[in-house]
Amino acid sequence: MAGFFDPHVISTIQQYEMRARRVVEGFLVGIHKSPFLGTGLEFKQHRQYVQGDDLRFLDWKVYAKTDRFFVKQFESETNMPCQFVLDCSESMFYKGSASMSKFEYAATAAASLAYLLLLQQDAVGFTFFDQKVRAHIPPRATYSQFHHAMTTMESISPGARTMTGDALMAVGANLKRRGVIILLSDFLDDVEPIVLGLNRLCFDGQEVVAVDVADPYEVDFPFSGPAVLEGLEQAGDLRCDPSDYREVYLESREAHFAALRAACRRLHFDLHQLVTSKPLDEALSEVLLQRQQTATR
Amino acid sequence: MTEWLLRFFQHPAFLPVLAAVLIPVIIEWLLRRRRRRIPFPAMRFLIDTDRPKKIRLQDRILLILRMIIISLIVLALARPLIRPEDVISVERGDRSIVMLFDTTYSNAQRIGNTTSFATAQRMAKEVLDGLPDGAHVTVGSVGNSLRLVQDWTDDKGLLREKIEALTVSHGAGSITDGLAWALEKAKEKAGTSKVLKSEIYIFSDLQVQTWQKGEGEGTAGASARAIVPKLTGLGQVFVAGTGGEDAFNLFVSRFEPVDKVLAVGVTTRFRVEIGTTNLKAGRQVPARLTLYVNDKRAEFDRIQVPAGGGVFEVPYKVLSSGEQLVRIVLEGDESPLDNERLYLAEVPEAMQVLILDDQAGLPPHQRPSVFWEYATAPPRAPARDPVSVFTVKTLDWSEAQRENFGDYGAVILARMPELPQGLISRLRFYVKDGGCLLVFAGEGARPYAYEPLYEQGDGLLPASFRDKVDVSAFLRSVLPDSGDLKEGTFKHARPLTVAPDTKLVRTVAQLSTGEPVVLARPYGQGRALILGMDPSLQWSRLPLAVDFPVFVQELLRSVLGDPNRLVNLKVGDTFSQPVLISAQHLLLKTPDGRKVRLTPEAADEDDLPRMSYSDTDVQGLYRLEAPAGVLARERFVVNLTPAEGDMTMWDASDFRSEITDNVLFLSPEENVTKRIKSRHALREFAGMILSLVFLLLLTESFLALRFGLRKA
Repeated sequence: MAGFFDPHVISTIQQYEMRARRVVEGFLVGIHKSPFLGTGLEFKQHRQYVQGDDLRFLDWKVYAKTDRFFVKQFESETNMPCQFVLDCSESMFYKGSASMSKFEYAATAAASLAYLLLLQQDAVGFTFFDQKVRAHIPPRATYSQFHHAMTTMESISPGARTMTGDALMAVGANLKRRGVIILLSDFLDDVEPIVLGLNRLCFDGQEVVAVDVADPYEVDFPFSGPAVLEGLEQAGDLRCDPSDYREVYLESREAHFAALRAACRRLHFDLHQLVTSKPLDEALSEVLLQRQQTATR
Repeated sequence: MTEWLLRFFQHPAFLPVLAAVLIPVIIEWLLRRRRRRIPFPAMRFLIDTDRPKKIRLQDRILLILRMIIISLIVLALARPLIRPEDVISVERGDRSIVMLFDTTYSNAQRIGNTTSFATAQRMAKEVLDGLPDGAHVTVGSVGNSLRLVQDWTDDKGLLREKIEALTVSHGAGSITDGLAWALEKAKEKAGTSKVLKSEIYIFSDLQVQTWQKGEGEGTAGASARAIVPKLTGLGQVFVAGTGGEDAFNLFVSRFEPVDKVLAVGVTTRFRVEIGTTNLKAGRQVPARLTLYVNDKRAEFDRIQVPAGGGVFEVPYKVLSSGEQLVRIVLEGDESPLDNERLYLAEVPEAMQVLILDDQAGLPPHQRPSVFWEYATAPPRAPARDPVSVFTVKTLDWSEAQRENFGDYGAVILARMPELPQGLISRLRFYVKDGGCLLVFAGEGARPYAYEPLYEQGDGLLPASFRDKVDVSAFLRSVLPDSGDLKEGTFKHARPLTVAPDTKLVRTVAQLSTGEPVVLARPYGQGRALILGMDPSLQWSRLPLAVDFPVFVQELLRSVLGDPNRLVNLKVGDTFSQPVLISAQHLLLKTPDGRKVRLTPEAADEDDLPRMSYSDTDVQGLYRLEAPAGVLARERFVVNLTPAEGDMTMWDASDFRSEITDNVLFLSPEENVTKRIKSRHALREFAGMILSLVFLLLLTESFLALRFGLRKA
């Protein structure tokens, strides 16, 4: 199934909506309908069991009393707003060795998941930010909203610097209801403001799923030979032999994301890392599976 | 500029290659231009670290190291070096070295176990040992005069031989001649393109006498003080002072018999004049005088020589006739060369005097010359020593024709009214060859007969004479050592007329009126006197004076002078004598063993050929080998001039203040070879630099590897 989801094929489809659907349709086979299991959500009602429901949510007490199968429904299942927060700074539009830029990859993932949630009649919204919020589409459980979001996403151009912390603060201020915030970014920003933003969202009762999108070049830093590394977002240039810097780069990067992971762990948030060279369905599967495993522990 | 570079580099032509030090920079620049540009978003993980600075520093370190290595390699190829002192010549063989030896006899002084000159020779050989192969050397010496010992050569073996063969001369020349020669030699080489500097070595005892001689008179009027600064302009001047401290010196300045006319059996007093230098006033030093006659010790005497010197007399009675070599040796100091003098004397049985008297056949008491006979050769008591060195023979001309005038020390024309032509000719030759003639213009002498001897003032007679005149003045004798004659009244005298502008004639005696009565002049090697008096009592009572014999003796001695003066010379004098019989060559043996072949010089019409020798720079006895009868005297001696007796020496500071301070001094105590070698040795650094290059290469490799570990 993974081999079917070739990111290079997907990248040729310009309409995100189609891509989302195809991914979601393929994805739906064999996978739970509602991949999002929120932690700390409230019991809302029972629903009659249909084939495919997670047997974990079978209410055995009701079965004992009625001899019929009913599953528990939580509030997020029925009405869980999910806000996709996408980083559209200049660095997100970097396309190294992969066929897609990080933004395309993140956007495809966001569209896929959003489509999935819509199918579940969950409200989805989109926020695009760089150094400030560039576009905010509040969560709605309508296809028109989804279409509007896709259109907006396709028209997004590379922004300026990344200021994730400020964006998260603004998102927190915009969202009236608690829900899930899926943050897709490369997190090439200072850790402190990001953590402040995450703290704000945690304080607001939001659940954050942080997804770090990275290019294989950023992960491996395979460059060598005399070169001039031209920084994006006015980060400056560096004349060097990149091989001289690989070790320190990897150490520095690992330290950065270790700090982020620690912060997310403290806040009981997830931080998932996606590499744009990996097929998206595999990557999403891993993320969702990881969430499920985390939720049932 | 080239000269400056040659001072510090053996091959300065490599220096422009230093531009290669820019190669690493150029490579760095080229690589920089060819770097690929890689957009990268995650620069924060690179720029925020110290790593870039560290890596830039490492790159700079390596770049600088590489530039240093290249520079050092180029420097090593250029062969930097230090040339000691101011030698900046390029090749090893282009040094020009001038060596000047002071061989004046003061250099024979003993200093410790050696002599000043031996020290100079040793130092010169040490200089040769220190010079690089191929150095061009010329050697000169100044003894009595300048001598070229060896012209430019690079054969060290030959030079050593020449230096070893050098000896101290017995002369006392001026060092300025040698300095002028050294200047010319240095100028010769200064003109060539390769030679940049000469070196001039002067080996001298720095005797003040030698260095100050010729002040204002030397070569081209320049003194040592004027020449040495010119030498320093052409090259480095080294002065090897080989003299010791100002040495006390005793020297014999004169040695001769008091009475120059010697005869067998007559005790002769030899006068020895002794000089001293560097002896405190009032002090006396003991010395010993030894007299040798024909190399046999004859007399010796212990003496005390006062400061300033003194005169001593050594009596000696010559017991045999013939030529006697008399030598005096003074002992008492460390400079023996000037402690000896020679005197060569022909000692006849007696000094014969021939009196020509046309009345010689008369009995003695009737002869006009009888008083002069007895005064010349007083009768001698049996078994007594003779009181006069003279013997006398009185002859008339007919008998005298058979006589060899050369056997007589003096010929007196006592009463010869006429002079035969044969007599005139013989008298001319006799006086010219050293004989002494006394002519009485007395009674009967006809003025016109003596005219051929006068020859208008060009002849041997000092004056012509006229008829006798009455005089009433006493003869006031001005003869040496005769004192005034208080007795003897002159009744008659001949006025003597000297040719105008004749400077050779000397008045021996004159009347109180001022009229000369005895005149003398030199003629050839001899002397002639004319006496305006008669030898008898006819014209004066002079022969009756008590002092008359003394007067005659003194007159004869003074007129004879020093019959041996022609064979007793000083260093630098010319020995000259006629060759009586023609000879193609004569062989001269010098005291130092040399043999010189001499050829008699052609003579004027009436003169005999003469042989001459002027290279008399060695003290001692000179011998001529010739067939018998060819030469009148076959031996002569040469004595030192006493000028070198003052052993006052300059030391280095004296030399600097008197001459110039722009010279370097070599001391006899130092290792001269080592000093000269170090002067000419080039101290190179190429080896050291290449070792450093090797170390730097190792360091660069290590650092490059270590810095390279940052690469995965």
